[in-house]
Amino acid sequence: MGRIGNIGKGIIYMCIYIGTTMVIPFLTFTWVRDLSILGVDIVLTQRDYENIIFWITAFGLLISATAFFNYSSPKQSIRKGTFALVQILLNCLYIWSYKFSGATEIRFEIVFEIANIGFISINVQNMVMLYMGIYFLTIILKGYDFFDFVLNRKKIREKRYEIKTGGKDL
Amino acid sequence: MILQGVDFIQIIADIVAAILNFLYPIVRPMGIFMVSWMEYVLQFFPQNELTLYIAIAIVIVVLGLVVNIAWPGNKKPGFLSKVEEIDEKIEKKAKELDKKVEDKTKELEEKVEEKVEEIDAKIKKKIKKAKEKVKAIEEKTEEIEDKVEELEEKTEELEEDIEELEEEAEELEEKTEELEEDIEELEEELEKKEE
Repeated sequence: MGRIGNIGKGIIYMCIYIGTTMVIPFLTFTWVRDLSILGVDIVLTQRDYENIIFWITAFGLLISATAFFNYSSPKQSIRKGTFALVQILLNCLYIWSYKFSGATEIRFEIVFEIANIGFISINVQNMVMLYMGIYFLTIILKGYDFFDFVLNRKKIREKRYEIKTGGKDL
Repeated sequence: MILQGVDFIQIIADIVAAILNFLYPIVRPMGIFMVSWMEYVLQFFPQNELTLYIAIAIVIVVLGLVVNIAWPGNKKPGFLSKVEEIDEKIEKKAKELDKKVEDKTKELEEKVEEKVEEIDAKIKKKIKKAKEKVKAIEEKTEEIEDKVEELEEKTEELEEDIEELEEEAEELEEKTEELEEDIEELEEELEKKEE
């Protein structure tokens, strides 16, 4: 795959990551913000909403940018390994920013007509912990890949270019 | 309808809870470790400065573009191209050597063929000469055999003649002896008469 192929692949993955890390969470939280069940408004507080949207946007941007760099890099290259690792670390921070921004304990205020009659709090901390544990294993895997790409660089390149002239990078 | 929806959510929640409970003791320590370093790292991420994140994202994307345009990963690295050059040189030299070897083998084959032909011709000539000599020798031997036969016959005849002559000589000797005896007798008679 040449320059255009690599960049095209990077753009496609960047768009996917923009969708999954920014657009979908943004729409979900916007929808949840003004959720109404049986005429009872369940409102996400303004401060929480803004906090969550900020971190989603901030880390979403970084993740999408690193995804572009990662997926546009040649297969088994050191830069791909580096940015895959960075992307995973940013993903962890992205997930954790939900808690940091209050998303692991989402508080919905129940408003009936004008009166505020209470709140619902959803604690998803254990879920986030589980995610973090899984991400820890993923980080180990990506770290292994990175060291593999660095240590076996010569072999990987020899293998990449032994098929035919011009090489093959996916 | 709402109750059915709640039941469905309850089932999902139970399944998720079961998974969480099963993985909890294994994954939670990892999660705690992750949380500890992430809480530390997140202190350095500025809040309410979205432009900074946008700038970083743009820088990363531009960097990615530049890097992928400059190094798309389809060019061979230096050490491999050198290896290829060396391989090509070796192949060229090998081909040249093969050609030289082929030419020399052809030359040698031609020379060998010529020599073989010369040797064949010489051998044929020698065979002819040898055959001629053999014929001459055979003829001579035949002649000699004939002569030998003749000589043998002659010797046989001569032997027979010799035998006859010997017999005759013996007879003559006997006769001479007899004659000598007769002479002696005659001389004795003469002596007696003279007396």
